[in-house]
Amino acid sequence: MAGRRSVWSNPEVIAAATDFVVSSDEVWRLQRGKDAECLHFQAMANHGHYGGGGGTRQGTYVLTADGTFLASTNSLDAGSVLKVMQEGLAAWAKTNVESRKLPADWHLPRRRWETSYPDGGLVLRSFNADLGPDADRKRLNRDHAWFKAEEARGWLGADPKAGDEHTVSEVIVERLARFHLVDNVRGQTLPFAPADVSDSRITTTVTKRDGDEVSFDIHGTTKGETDGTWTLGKNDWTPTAKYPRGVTTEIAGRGRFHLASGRFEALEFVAFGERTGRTNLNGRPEADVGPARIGWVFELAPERPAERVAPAFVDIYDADWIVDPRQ
Amino acid sequence: MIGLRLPLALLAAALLVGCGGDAPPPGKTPTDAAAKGLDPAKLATYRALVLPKASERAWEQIEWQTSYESGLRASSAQQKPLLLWVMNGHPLGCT
Repeated sequence: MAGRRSVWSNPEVIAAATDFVVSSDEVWRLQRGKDAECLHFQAMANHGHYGGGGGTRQGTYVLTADGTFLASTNSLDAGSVLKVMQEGLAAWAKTNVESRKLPADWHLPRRRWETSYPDGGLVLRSFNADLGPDADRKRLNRDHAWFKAEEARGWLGADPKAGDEHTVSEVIVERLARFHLVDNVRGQTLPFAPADVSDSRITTTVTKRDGDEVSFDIHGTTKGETDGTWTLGKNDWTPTAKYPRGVTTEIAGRGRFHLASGRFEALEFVAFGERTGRTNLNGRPEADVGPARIGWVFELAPERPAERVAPAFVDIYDADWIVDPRQ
Repeated sequence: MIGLRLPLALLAAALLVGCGGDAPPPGKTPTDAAAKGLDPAKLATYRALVLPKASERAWEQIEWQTSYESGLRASSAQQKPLLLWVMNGHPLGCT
């Protein structure tokens, strides 16, 4: 959410960050797991702001590579984070050189979800926010959507020509409707099951064909709706109560695809619609269950490490090419 | 599969009018099974309704490592302290 990242958009924090290696990660696995990386984190974080008791380890930490704790906080206030950075640097100055190194035998063969990043396929990044005059513009979220190359080809027909209209493949439409067109503006939420998706269709219309280069417009609608009955089995997302909810959207966009290379040179679309309901995770209070306006922007993710982070629902993506790192 | 639902078309119109953009014609009749109330030629206007301001995206300037383990390795190699941010949900993705 923008609120959380606002600390890191503070100019003083950005300037001070050059004295550090800056990293981020998902804490759920780190604080619960039993592998070497998780245990390394837990031993360090037990000295932090939440102490060694149970519960979350969310926050900002300063440490050495061998896991020596230096400073920490869990704050959205830039001043508090700057203070911890200063404390961490002061403590770092007192550490010995050996503590600043990883052990020589440090080896982590563990896979991550990011190991399944679809090189050569299609990676979109999304932004979503509440819309309308009463929307809290400080709240927004982002995510990534992954499609391997064969799936991404479903945006267009086999030999697209100007004027052709193509129904985008079901795997693309369903993945968007189930996992990405969900109300996570204020925080992570629950996905839709296949049976929750109906009345969803996206079409592309070829506006120009120039050799291998195909330009096209995108139109469509999606609908995800559930009475809250959970049908996706036992996993990290399984709720303990029913959360009726729905999202309907209308989609418009455009793209440019190179047939010979199989790569998208451009792709962007918006989805505007309506949300209803709430979940146990997404931070909507009872007074904010809608119907209310919501919107998304999807665009090609730039080629850089930060854009290789896996989709939130990668663990239940229903894609056989994604390897579960827990197995 | 479905036709344009009028509430969505009106929603899009209301959003755009509210932001000074060009609104699609209210009550526009769908021409085929897919909705065509939003105009791809107006994507820049639509995007501005959702995307954060540049100042809100300044955090993207930071050279983030994307895992605890890669941060430890870089810290060891560069001999700099590791500044680690961990949240429920990857902070560089969906939180």
